[in-house]
Amino acid sequence: MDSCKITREKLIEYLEGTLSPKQDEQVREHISTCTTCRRHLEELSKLSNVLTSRLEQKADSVELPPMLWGKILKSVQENKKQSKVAVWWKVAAGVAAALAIMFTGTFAPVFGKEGNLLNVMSGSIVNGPVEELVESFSDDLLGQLKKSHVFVQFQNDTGVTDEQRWELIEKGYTPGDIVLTLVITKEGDWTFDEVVESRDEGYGWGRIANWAGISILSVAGTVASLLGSMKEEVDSKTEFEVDSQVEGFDDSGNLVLSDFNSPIPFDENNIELVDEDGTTPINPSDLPEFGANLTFRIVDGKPHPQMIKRQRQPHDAPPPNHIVLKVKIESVDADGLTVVDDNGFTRKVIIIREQSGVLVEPKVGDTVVMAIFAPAPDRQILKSMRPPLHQRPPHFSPQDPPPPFPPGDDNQASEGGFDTPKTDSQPDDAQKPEIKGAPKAEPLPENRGDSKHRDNDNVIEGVDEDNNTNTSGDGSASDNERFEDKIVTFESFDRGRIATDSGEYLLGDGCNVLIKLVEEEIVIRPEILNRVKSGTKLSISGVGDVIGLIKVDIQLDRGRYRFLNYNALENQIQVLDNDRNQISFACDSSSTFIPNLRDFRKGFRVEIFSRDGFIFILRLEQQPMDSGEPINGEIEKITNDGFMVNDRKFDVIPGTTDFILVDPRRQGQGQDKQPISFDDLEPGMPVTVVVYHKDNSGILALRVVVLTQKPGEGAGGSPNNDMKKKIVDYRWDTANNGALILTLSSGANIKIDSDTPVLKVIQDKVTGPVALKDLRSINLNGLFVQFKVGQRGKIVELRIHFPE
Amino acid sequence: MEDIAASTIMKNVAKGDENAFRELYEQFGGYVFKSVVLSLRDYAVAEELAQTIWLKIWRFAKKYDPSRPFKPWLSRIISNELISHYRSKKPVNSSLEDMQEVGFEPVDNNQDSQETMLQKDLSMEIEKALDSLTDNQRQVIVLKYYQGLKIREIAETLSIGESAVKARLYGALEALSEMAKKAENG
Repeated sequence: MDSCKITREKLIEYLEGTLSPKQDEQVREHISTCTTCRRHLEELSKLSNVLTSRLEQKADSVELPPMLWGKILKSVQENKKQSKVAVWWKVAAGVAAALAIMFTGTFAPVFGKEGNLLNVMSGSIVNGPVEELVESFSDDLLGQLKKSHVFVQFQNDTGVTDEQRWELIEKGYTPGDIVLTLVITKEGDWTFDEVVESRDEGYGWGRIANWAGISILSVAGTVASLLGSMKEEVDSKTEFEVDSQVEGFDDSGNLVLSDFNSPIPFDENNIELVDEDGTTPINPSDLPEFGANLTFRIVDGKPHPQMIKRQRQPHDAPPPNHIVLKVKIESVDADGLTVVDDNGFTRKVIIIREQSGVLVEPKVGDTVVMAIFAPAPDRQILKSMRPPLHQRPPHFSPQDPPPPFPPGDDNQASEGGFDTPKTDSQPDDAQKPEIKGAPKAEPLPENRGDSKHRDNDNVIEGVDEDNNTNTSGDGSASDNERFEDKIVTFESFDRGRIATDSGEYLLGDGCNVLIKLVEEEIVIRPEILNRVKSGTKLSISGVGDVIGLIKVDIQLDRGRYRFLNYNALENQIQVLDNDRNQISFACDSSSTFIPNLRDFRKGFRVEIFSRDGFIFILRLEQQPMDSGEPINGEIEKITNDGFMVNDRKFDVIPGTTDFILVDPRRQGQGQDKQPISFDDLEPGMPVTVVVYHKDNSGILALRVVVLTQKPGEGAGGSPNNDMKKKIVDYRWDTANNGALILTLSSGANIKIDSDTPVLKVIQDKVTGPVALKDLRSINLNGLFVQFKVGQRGKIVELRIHFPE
Repeated sequence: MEDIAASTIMKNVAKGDENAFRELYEQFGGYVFKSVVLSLRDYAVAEELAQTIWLKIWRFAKKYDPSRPFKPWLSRIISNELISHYRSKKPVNSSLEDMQEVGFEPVDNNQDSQETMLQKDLSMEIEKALDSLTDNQRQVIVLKYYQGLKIREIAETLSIGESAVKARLYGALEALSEMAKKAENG
């Protein structure tokens, strides 16, 4: 075998084809004559194939952790800015939640699709002052007006024009988004356009803030202080002036404003309608098409329109970036639409696929609201289109999210409450201020068009309103109705979609599953639904067909164990139960480990919530403490489940204790250590015990290092695993039949009975037996001894080394 | 082809283009993570290491020479990270360090002698047997049979001699085949 060694080492290279032609030939020749090497090559080749396929197989089963990219990106960001923003996610989430609630009454995912902010947000980090603010904004009309007033002031304060803000609204930005855009523009070293661009690309606010060089903490601070002071200002007034953009008129002739929830009664006789110059009177019909500013006063909660100033003259002013108007679709052709507005003015509108956000399928005869670019009078481009807000079915609460406007950005869901005018048919007292909307108003893509259409048709055809209301909560997947704690029966789960007895739902960004434990609730990733049995009742909350939160009431088995091992490839966790039996649990990425799995070490006491052998939650029962100093001594006693060293009892828990035999003289030659087991321990062995971990209830894991001598060395035929120990003290126990008690350098005391055979050793040679009592006349201090230990710890042989 | 595309992407990553970085991640995220998991057999640590590896790719993208193939460069980063992880991998407690001072070097469980390992479980499957290899052996096995590197490339990646690679590889293969035989017979 040795004669072939060189060639055998080359076999691997031969197999991979990297040998030189000459060497290759040599190997080939050798194999043809040497059966051993040939067989070895076959084995090697077989093994290589097995390894490759097994590793590939295993690699295939390894799933990239879903959160990894987010983590990487975060660390890259942190690296970029060299700033410590460890807590900003939480704060950002808090601000997001606060803003979302404040402006839309909803937990909108304003922080974007990057990362899992909503997971954090689910902790409802909303502070008291903000909630107060929300409260004061929730009262119907005045609330809306105040809110808008605060918003406008905020906008002015940050130096952003109406045009810019309007553009954001058109893009579907929520008011919370807008506030963040403004604050980041103001505080960061980025321009407004850069902020908007990043947002449009789908980046989350936290990241954008970070890029712009500001901590989200400062955003939170700015927002809080600005909004706080503005709210005070608004609250202290009973009368104030508000500027708003006029969007048009509703069916009852009320003014519909772009950023108010409630329409304003319009009395032509009591309002000054002027052109851009502020002096030329104009007709009401001139208003919506070109945009106008309404100035009105709020007196005791009621709006009093003062002056409407048209913003642009139709002919000599440059065309606006876009206009928003309500039109009826006259015809649909390949290029676009022909529409006619309320004034009978007909437009040809071009649809450019990349630029036009068309929310509804254009249908002849439908009335829609559209935003139109007008680069030239004969070339008007559709920018976005949606059903008229005030024509939506009456079961829409004004605070419910309207359909996304425009679509295209998954992340943007236009939120109600800000640009949703109240319908005429809906009395004020029908509003439910406490309704908070929902996480996201994103309908399933496939029925997006249909559902909007249906809404539209309903109104146009005059479907009975009550019927509509009654059917609104039935979970119909195309309905935008908000639902809370609706009980459904779970059927199946597949990547963000769940099927239930009442239809299919989409999981909203950051949707969590809440599992009720004995005394608490635990949030788990939705993937846990893979482990939920069909037929389980779920309590779901959300909007339309999008679920924001799922509550599951399932019975989990709860047990306390000692952690042994996590086998990543098998996705298994091994633990010991109280009877010290080894048990395996399955787990996957949806299992929740508290804290992180890598903090678990063998021996740790853990609590497991499981079902059918699958771990839902694994948590440390108690944070382990630092271990103490290593304990050096000799094994004094061995019991069934442990041993004693230096009067201290150590419990040996299978699987959590390592036993290692060390021969110090063979150090550096390899093979100086070898694992042994509990059964190999014998009393008298010199050991070093290291407590790996412990907690209040005791030791969690141990390492026991047993020091030994090389067998065969020392006195001939001496017992294995013993070594010479120096006597530091001794006494004769005359009461006990003349036994000898030795105190050794290790600190251990050993008792030599009078009938114990004692051998005299000089220069490592046994010179003969000696009677124990004959030693009484000798000073034993400083002499070395070796001993053999028998059953029950009794010393069965003592060797005593004498100097020459 | 893959490498050419990666080299191009890397040029943009070097400029700080996060979209390019994301693209790179989409292409190699699985490869990196799987390589690490297979070498470490521990998801949690693997995730942490993968994160560090990607941060290094980001930080050192400028140092990458786009005229050279990308995958060896990537393998090198992965291996370096694994090696430094192996080095730092000591049971976390101070008493053990104390012990080492006294002259006891704690044994790594993975370094069980072959005999003991075989006694433990004769019917071990190969992938389980992989667990019993030393870190170094396992790393070489993964580099060779998962990442598909040649001995010379492994030597370059690990900055060790080819003979050392061969020795590790051979040792690992021998141990594995011994175990496989025992498993078959057992």
